Amino acid sequence: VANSQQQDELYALILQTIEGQISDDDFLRLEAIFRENPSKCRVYVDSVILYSMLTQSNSLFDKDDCPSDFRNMKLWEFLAVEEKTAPAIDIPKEKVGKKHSVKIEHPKTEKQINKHSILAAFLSIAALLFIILYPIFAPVPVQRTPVGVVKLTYDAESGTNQKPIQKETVIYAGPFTLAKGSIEVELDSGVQLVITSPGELVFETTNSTVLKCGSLVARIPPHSRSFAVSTPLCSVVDYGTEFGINVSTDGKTEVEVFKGKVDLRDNPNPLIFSNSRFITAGQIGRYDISGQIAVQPAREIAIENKNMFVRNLPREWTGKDGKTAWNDVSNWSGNIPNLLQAAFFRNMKPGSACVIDSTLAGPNRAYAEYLNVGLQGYGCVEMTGGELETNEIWIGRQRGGQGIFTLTDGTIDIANGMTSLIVIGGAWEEGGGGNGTLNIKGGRIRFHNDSGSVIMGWGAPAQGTLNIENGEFIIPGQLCMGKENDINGIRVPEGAGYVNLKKGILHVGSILITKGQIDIEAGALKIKQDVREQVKQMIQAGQLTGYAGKAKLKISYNIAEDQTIIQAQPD
Amino acid sequence: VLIVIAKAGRKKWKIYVNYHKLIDINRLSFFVWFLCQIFRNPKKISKILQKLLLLSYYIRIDGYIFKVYGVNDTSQHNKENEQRDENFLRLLIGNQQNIYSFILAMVHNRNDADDILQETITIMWRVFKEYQPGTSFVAWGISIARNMVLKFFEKNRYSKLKFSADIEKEIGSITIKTLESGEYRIDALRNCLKKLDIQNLGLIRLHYEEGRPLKQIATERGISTHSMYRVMGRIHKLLQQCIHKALLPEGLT
Repeated sequence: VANSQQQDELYALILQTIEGQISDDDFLRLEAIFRENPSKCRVYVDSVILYSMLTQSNSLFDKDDCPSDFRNMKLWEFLAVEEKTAPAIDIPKEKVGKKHSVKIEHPKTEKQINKHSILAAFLSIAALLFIILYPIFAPVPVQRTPVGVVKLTYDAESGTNQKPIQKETVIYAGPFTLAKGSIEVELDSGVQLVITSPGELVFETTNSTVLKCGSLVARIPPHSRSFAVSTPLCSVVDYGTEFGINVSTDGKTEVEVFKGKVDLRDNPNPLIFSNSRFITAGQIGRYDISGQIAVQPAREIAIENKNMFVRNLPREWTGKDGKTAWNDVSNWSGNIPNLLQAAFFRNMKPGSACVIDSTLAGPNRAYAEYLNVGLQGYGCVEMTGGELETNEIWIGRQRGGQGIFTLTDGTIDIANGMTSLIVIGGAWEEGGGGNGTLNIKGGRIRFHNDSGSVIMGWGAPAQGTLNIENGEFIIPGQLCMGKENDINGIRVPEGAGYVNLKKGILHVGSILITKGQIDIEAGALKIKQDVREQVKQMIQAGQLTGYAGKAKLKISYNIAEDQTIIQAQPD
Repeated sequence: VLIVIAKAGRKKWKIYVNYHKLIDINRLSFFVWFLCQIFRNPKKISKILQKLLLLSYYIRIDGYIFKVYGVNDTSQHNKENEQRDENFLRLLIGNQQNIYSFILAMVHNRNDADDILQETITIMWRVFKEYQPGTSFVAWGISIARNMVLKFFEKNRYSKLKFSADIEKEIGSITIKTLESGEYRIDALRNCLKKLDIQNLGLIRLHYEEGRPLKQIATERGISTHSMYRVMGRIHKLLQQCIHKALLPEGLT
C-alpha cells in the first residue's frame, strides 16, 4: 500500500510541476527521485505526453457519453470524510539535504566598460532630464469634463471619426456631432436627451446644451434643476417637462412641448433676452431670423408624414437562437418596450422567434408604440396567447425586410391613437417595402379606431400575404392591397397583396385592390354596405377567386346587417 | 460570407459568421492563434479567414470542421500560396501535440510551454519553405522547438524550478523516443478513457475539457488541493497503465 501511495505521490508531484503548483521543496524532492532512480524519468515523460494529449487533442471525449452524475456530491462528501477520518499512512519523506542540491556556479565576469554602457548611461541622463524638464515646458493638458453617458443607440455613428457610437460611451463637455442614427444620452443631472441625426451640438454642462442644428428631445426629471438649450438664434428654458427642439441649417427653431411648459427666449444666451413666450403641452413655438416668436397648436401628424421628433429610441430584439419570450429583458437592447417605445425585430436568426404567450395578460400585457417585424431583415413574432397593445404593426418593412407574424391565440389591440394600422409588406420610405406575412390561426385582432385599416404591398417590391385559417378578423376601415408611394416627388409603384381565406371570416369596411388577389375557400368575406356591383367587377378582373379559380363565388347582400357577403361554392 | 473575430477577453475569442455567433473559443485555437501571431490586426485576420474559408473545402477551428463550397481563385500565385497554407495546416494539425509534448517535457510548466509553442509555430510558418516534404514534420518542428527551449533556459537560467543538466538530457532522449508512437497513443488514450469509471472520467472532463482548475474543483468539493492532485495523479496512473497495456502488443512501449 505504501508503495502505491508513493507512486500516487510521484504522479501528483509531476502534475503539480506541470501546472505550476509545486513548491521549491517538493521540486527538489522530485529531482531527487529522478536522480536516485532514473527510470522514473520515464513516468515523467509519459505523464507529460498524457497531459499534452488531454489538453491539445480535440474530440477525445464522446459528446453522447457525458456522465450526468459525475458531479454527484455523495462521492465528494465521501472523499472529504475519508480524508478527515482515514488512518495516517507513514510515507517516508525524502530528506532534502545538501546532496540533492546542485550548486550553481556563476561564471565570474570581468568588469568592462564598453561603448554600449556609455551609450546607455548617456540615454539614461537624457531621459532623466526629459522627465524633469517636461512638466515645466509641456503645455497644460486639457481637462475633459464628463457630462453624461450614452444609454442607448440605434445605428448611431459619430460625425468626428465615422465610428459607431457604443452604449455606455462617456460624453464629455465639448462639441459633438451625430452623423447617423439616434442616441439616448443621460446627463449626470438626470436629464435624458434623445438626439436624432444629423445633429451638431455642444455639451456645455449637465444642465445646458447648445444645439447648432438637428433635433433633440429632452426629458427633465421633476427633481432636476432647470435645463436650457441654446440655438444659434434663441434659447429654450425648461420648467420640468418633456419637449422637442429642432434647429434647421438657417437657424430657424421649432419647439414642441409634450408635457409641462417651456420658455422660448429671443437670445442664444438664456439669461439675456428682451422677448419670451411660454409654450405649454400640445403647442408648437417657432422662432425665425425675423426675430418673431409664433405659438400655435401642434399639428396633426398624418400617417405618411414622419413624426418631427423621435421621443424614444426603439427597443431592438436581441434574442438569439430558438423561441424566446417577449418578457425576458435580456432579449432586448434596453428595457422591455412600453407604449412609448417601438419594438424592432430585424436581423433575427431564421428559425428563431419572439413569443408572446398567455402569461402576458392584463397589467402584464405586451406593449409597444409600434412593431417592426422584419425591418430590412428577418423578423418573426409568434403569439400563442395573452395580449399585445400597440398603435401600428409593420410586418416586412422596407426593402429587404422579411417579416412573419403568426397569431394562434390571444388578443391584439390596435389602440385608438393617431394611427391605427397594420401594414403587411410595405414602407413609406424610399426604396419600397419588404415581404410580410400575417398568419391568423386563432385569437383576434381588435382595432379601437373606426378607421383602423390594413395595407398590403405598399411600395414595390413589397409583397404582403394574409393567411386566415380560423377566427374572425375585423378591419373597420379599408383593406388596401397594392399601394404606391410618393416620397419627395419620387414615385414608387405599388407592391402586391394576397389574401388566402381558407376558413374564418374577414370583415372589412371597404376594399381597394390595385394589385393583388383574394382567394376564398371555406371562409367568407364580408364588406360593409351594398357593394355587389363593385365585387362583380373584382371577380371579372380576377381579383376575387374561389378555390384558386376552381369554384364560383356567391355574392349576397344582408339588409339587416348592411353587408355584402362573398363565399365560394365548390362544385 | 462575412467572418468577424471578436476578442472577448484574455485568450477568449468569438467567431461570428454573417453576424451570427458561431463559436466561442476559450483556448485560442492554434489556427486562429497563428493567424493572430502573423498578422496581429483583427481586420486582416478576418479577411484571411474569410479567404481561407472560401478557398478551402474543409477548415478546422477548435475541433469544429467546416465544409465550405466556395469560389476558386485561379491565379497561379495564389494557388501556390493556398497550397502551401493548406499543407502547413494539415501537417500542423496532425503533429502539434507531439511538438507540444517535447516542449512541455523540457520546460515542465504548461504556461511556459504554451508560450514557447506559439513562438515555435510562428517560426515554423515563416520558414516552412525550408521544410523538405516527405521528411518527418515532427522532427523538423522539434528541431525548431529545441532552439526556442534553449532560448527560454538562457532567459530563465537562475530559476529554482529547473532540472539539472543530466536529468534534462535523460528526459529529452526518452521524450523523443516515446513520441514516435504518437498516433497509437491517442487511439489508446481514447479507448482507455472509455474504461474509466464515471467519477474519474467526470473529473478528467471537468479539468481538461471544461478547463476548471483543480484548486477550484477541490474547494467546491470540500477537499484539499493536495488531495485533489493525488486523486488526479491516481487517474493519470490508471490511464498510463492502460495505455502501456494497450501498446504492449504493438511493441511501442
